[in-house]
Amino acid sequence: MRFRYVHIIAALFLLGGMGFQFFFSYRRASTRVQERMDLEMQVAQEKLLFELYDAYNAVYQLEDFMADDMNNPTDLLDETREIMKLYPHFFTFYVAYPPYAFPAKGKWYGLRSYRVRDSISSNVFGGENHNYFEREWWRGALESGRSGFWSQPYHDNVFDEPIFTYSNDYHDKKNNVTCVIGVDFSVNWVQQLLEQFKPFDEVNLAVYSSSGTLLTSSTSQDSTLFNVSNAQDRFAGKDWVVSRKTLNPIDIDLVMAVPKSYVWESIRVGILVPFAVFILGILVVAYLIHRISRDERENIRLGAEQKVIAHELVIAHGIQMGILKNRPLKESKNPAGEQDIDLHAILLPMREVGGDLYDFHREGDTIWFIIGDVSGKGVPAAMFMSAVVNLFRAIGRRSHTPKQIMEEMNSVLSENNPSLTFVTAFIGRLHIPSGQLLFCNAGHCPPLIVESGASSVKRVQLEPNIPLGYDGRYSFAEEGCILGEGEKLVLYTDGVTEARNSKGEMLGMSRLSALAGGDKDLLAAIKQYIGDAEPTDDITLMTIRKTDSVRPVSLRVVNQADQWPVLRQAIHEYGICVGIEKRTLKKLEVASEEAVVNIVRYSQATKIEMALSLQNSAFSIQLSDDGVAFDPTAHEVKTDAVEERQIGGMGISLIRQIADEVHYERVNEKNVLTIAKSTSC
Amino acid sequence: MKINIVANGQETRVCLAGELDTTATTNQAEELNQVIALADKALEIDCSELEYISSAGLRFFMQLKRESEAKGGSVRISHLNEDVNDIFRMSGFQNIFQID
Repeated sequence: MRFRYVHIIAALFLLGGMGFQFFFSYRRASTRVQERMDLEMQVAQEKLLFELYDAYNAVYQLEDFMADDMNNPTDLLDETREIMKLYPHFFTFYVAYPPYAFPAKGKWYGLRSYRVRDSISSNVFGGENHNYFEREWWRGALESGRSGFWSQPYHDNVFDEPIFTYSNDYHDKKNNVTCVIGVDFSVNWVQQLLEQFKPFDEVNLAVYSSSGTLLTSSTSQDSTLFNVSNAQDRFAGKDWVVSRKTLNPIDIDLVMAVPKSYVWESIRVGILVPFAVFILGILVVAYLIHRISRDERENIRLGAEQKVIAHELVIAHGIQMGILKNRPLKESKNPAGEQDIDLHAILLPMREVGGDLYDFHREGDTIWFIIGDVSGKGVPAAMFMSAVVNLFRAIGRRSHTPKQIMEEMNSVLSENNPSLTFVTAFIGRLHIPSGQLLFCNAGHCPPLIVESGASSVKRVQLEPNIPLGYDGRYSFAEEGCILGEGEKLVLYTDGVTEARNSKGEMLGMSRLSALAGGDKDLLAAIKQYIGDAEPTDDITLMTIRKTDSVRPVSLRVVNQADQWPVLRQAIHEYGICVGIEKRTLKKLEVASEEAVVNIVRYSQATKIEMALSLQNSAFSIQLSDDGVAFDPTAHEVKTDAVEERQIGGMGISLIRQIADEVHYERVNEKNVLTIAKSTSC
Repeated sequence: MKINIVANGQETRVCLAGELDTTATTNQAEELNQVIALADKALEIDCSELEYISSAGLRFFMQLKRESEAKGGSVRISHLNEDVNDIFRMSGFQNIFQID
């Protein structure tokens, strides 16, 4: 949360800084403008005064002329012209005489030269309509004494311009007024001169009378002559930076004013560019902080979710490990409580849960077991894995052989498998005393058998078949072998053979064989091989070592015909385990059936015992019964005249033809018939 | 085992599938007797799906042949697999039956 406000606080600081920056820049710029205008006004004022004082010179000049030629006033006209030429800033230059100074000229007689645009005109003025004795300049000149008179600005009706006048009277030696000499200046000229001192284009200029009447200004809207509105206030107030000078002696105000907006504009770029950069920077920082804090929140959220998932996975791990049997010792003991096998099983999931599986269950002297690997990894594989294990437990208790279990499981798993998840599996059934290992493989890695004393390690030869889950009607091959005394069956998943060490080298079959035959505990040796390398798959290992000696298969059944299938199944399975050829096995089954049928029919025995063994690579079936003595080998075999043969005789005939050796003896009141057939033929 | 009887024109075909052993001849005697009841006809015993036979099964064939000869029918055995054929050979049955 505190992260959220950092960028707002940063922005406030930056904005505060910007405000100060702006304020001081503006103040400094205002002062600079003010000083600059004041300076220009000072110079302009001096320049104007300098120009105005030309009026004195001009007047003296004309006085001098008049002193020379007093009696010819007409020449004066030319002289005013000449003087006008000398002073181009003069608006009018004139000389006026008192009433009747020249009787011939009448009451008014004035001579003047004036400027019309760039040329100078001269004329005589004065009359009823132009009674200059009433004019301020006339009266002022007479009243002002020797120094002359500067008029207030006034409106010149003839030229329709605001002007002001310097006038002075001229006296003769008797101190009578001879004439008044005047110079008119245009206020517009003042304005134009001021224009030259504008420090910036944006400067407004204005000339006011002392009474506050606007005379001229640089803006057209103000140019109304003698506007009576209170124009003095135009540059007053906060909107303007104003420089004001009073021009003596005519007592007019010169005003130079620049709108404050100009000050702002002059510093605008200098303020706005950094300001924009700052704002941009703030936005970028704000955005980054926002992103970071959002990511932070997202991370916190994801972290929480991850914790939930991780927690669930821990539980799932517990469930999966719980599914797996972890007390093999209990199943390593026979019903009498003696340990006859050494059983170990371990599953190391790559992640919390995985698709590897194993299971085993023991009933009496027989142990059923499965090892498998569900395609895929993680949770989906683990879900399938638990289904496979439970299926094995349910079916494995009902079905007899690994082939039957495998086919039933395959049927169920293929039935409803939209994800086409498949399982490789190896199911085995070990009859521990006899070492008969009947198994069925569904695409799983072939197990190893480590011989007693670890002298050699061999791979169990098997049909690969197909994995479970594809084809529910597939017929799996049924296979088997004999696990001898001290021999160890090593079952594993491909996570073992494909385990890599830190150099990336796979363990492989040959290394696994070597490790399995070694002295070390296999799991510890595999773990040592992997070392620090990241596991890439689940690792599952199950070993079953037969610790006691191999005993022959022996069965005892009551003497009834319906017990034959039990015996036949035992012969069939044993035949598979000792690797007898199938056709030979079938014939042996026929021979045995004939022998058993004979016992059932004729011996009146109560029980039949059967012992199966492999001796000198001969498959031996020994049947004994407690019935009346009967030696089937004593009967002659007749291959012809079939129709005449006794039913029993036909059976005996078959036995003798099928078996390599048929041996009968009467031992301890028992008929003992041994049927042997070489497995090599 | 399974027994399937198909009347096919002049010949009647009997398909035997599975194992014809002591258990089968005991448990399915009734069905086998139905086959024997057809002994007056021309019979083809199709053994393509017969996987196992013991002397109990051979006895059924013997019975069938006797009845057939008595009633003027005929028995022809077809499609014996190797295992079953071995037993037929060993028991000398191949000499007394017409085996295709």
